[in-house]
Amino acid sequence: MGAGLAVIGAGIGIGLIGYGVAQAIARQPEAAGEIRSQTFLLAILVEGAAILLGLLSLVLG
Amino acid sequence: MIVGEKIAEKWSMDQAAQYAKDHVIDSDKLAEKNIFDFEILTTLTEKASAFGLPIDFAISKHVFLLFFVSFITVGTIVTLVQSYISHKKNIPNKFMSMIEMMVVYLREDVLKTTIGNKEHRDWAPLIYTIFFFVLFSNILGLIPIFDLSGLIGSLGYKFEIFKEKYNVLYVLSKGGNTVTANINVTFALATISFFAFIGAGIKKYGFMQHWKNLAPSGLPWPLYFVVVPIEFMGLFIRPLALTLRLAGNMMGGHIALVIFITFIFSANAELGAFAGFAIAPFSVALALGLTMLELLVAVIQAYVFALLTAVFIGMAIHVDH
Repeated sequence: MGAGLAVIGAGIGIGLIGYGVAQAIARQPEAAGEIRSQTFLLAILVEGAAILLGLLSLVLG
Repeated sequence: MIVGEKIAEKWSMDQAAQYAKDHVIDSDKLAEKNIFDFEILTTLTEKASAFGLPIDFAISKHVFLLFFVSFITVGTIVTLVQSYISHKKNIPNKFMSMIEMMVVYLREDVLKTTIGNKEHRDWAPLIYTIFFFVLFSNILGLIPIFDLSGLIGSLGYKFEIFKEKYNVLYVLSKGGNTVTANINVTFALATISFFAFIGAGIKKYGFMQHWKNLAPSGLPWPLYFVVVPIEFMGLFIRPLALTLRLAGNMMGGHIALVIFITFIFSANAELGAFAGFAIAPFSVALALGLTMLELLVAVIQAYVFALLTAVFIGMAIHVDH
């Protein structure tokens, strides 16, 4: 249950990031490298919260 | 793998979770026996506990693997770089060019953009070390070196050394672990980066000014009652997030791998031998795919750990005023 909820949250977050990145690269293809490294950082932060929740559900459940 | 031992015995569905756990945690701690029992370490532990410090100096399986990984990391990098430097033609070989690629990528895309052109040289060794250590330990967790020793052990069961439980070879043959899946290891790594980004700020601004920099200046004074505790909490949440992210990623991947394999045994126990055989190809294919994904995750997590450490150091150096 907890793992499922964590995955939903992270899925929405990473999906939104992907949407933004695709649009940004389409508008400015020359800035792709810079955008990509920024993406990594954001995706990591979103994923971090998800993993925290997943671990909690593993430990408590 | 641990699961392989139990084929002959009765298997029930609810054992799967236990096997997944046994695969991930420090399994020879469970057996209450360490691989290498040195007397000097036992006495050290006793002395520490008499002193009031609950520190266990004993070398368990994870500690042994940690030494192993450090040895491999230092050995590989130093040998490759030394042979490249002393080589006359100056053509990097395969592995050297791989390492060079990673180092250049880290320098250009991580260090220079996050820490800055001027200061990145001071912190480059730390970031490279963290990156390569985490990378090697993640990847060594995926290569079943010690499972191979278990296979040899199961073939050579006639020899006395494999029969005796809990000796070095027996414990190692229960499979190697990913050291970074152990939360204590990642916590130690995160502690290093915690002190690094505090040290970076102190080095740039001096001791008092660094702590003042944590909260942005120029706010109306009542706001500081809110901002200072939040920033202070954030300071400790950062290494905690680093710890949990790496350990969680590694642990999760390995648990999922074991669970995929246990599908075979569960089907075998619940529905009969035919179902076990039928589900085996799918199960192995899933596990294979997941292993490929884990290879990717191993590199990404090493990169992420290095990147976040660099970002935090950069935040300590470039304070928003």
